[in-house]
Amino acid sequence: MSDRTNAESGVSMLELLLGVAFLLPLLLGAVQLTQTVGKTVDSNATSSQCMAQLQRAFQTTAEFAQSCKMSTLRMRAVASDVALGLASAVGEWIEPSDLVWRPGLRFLSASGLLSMNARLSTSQREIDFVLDPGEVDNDLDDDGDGMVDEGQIVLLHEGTRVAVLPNVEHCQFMLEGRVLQIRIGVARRGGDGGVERAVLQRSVFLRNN
Amino acid sequence: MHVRDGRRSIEPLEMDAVPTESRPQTPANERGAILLDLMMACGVALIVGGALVTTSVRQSAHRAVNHETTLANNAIADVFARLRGLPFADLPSLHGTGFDVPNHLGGPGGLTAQPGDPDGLPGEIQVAVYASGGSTVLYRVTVTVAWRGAAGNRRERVIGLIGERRS
Repeated sequence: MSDRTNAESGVSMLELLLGVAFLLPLLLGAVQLTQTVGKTVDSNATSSQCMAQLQRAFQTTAEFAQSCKMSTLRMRAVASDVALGLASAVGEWIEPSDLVWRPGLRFLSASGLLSMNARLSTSQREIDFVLDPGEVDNDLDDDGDGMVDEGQIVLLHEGTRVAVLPNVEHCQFMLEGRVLQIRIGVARRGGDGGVERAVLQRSVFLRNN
Repeated sequence: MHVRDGRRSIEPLEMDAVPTESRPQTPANERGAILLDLMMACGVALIVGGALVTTSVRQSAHRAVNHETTLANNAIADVFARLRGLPFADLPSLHGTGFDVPNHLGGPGGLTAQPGDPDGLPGEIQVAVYASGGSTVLYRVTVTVAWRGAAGNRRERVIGLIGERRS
């Protein structure tokens, strides 16, 4: 069947070998490049999702807290409060002193039912940080998921507790006059197994007495 | 096809019945065409690879710009909330004050000031009297963050009016 000339004999194999020798590094480079680009895209996506999650967490918490009446504001006591005799136990709801980071807020809000009337109050509201099962507040990753002391932000609204924001590593509040500082840290696991973190500390001005 | 005893019989086709001469022959000047193919493939691969890298770099830059803008806006919102919490009489003294922008982990140095910035801080507060009448003064507060980032020099600015709080 074959009717090749002498000049063409074996050329195909030589060409094939040359082609393989030439294309193999090229293909390896392409694979490596694709992997690098894939990792970059994945990392970018995780980082963006982490930032978006943080913004959402802050927005939800800040909007909920901003309408609070300062006279009704209480915070969960920390160890320094107990040491100063402001509370009998850690976690007790106390009238807050300034410049101490504390977890959890309890307050009544202006209902907003009547325009410019801040006297009407809502039912009691709370913002609390609740650790996930299997996590202990010890700055360690107890459940082995890559996140440290993670939990959820839980809101008490109209008598119902709603866990609104998962994968939160910390959520703290500090009062400074009428300015409430909120510090939230979130974490998110990426496709490559790494954990992306982001922290936002921002102030909210409390208008209502 | 043959006719035998008035009956037609069909003989099977022989595959090698096609004369060799009728096959297309590779002309001598097409030898080595595979090299040209390789070069073309390389060219295409380079273009695709380049496009991939460019897309990745652009996407990273886009994300970085978004990230920087978010940091800047967060810092501006924080400054405004703090300004509202300060005694009203202290506002004019803050004119020209600079401030730092926290990074995504809450630490300092989230954004780099533009070259030539006098205080080396990316943020700046400007306070000017917007309107006044009797004992009432309304300040026009401009909070600016100007930084050098992934897309060169950028700036975010928010302008607000602050009046004295009653009661």
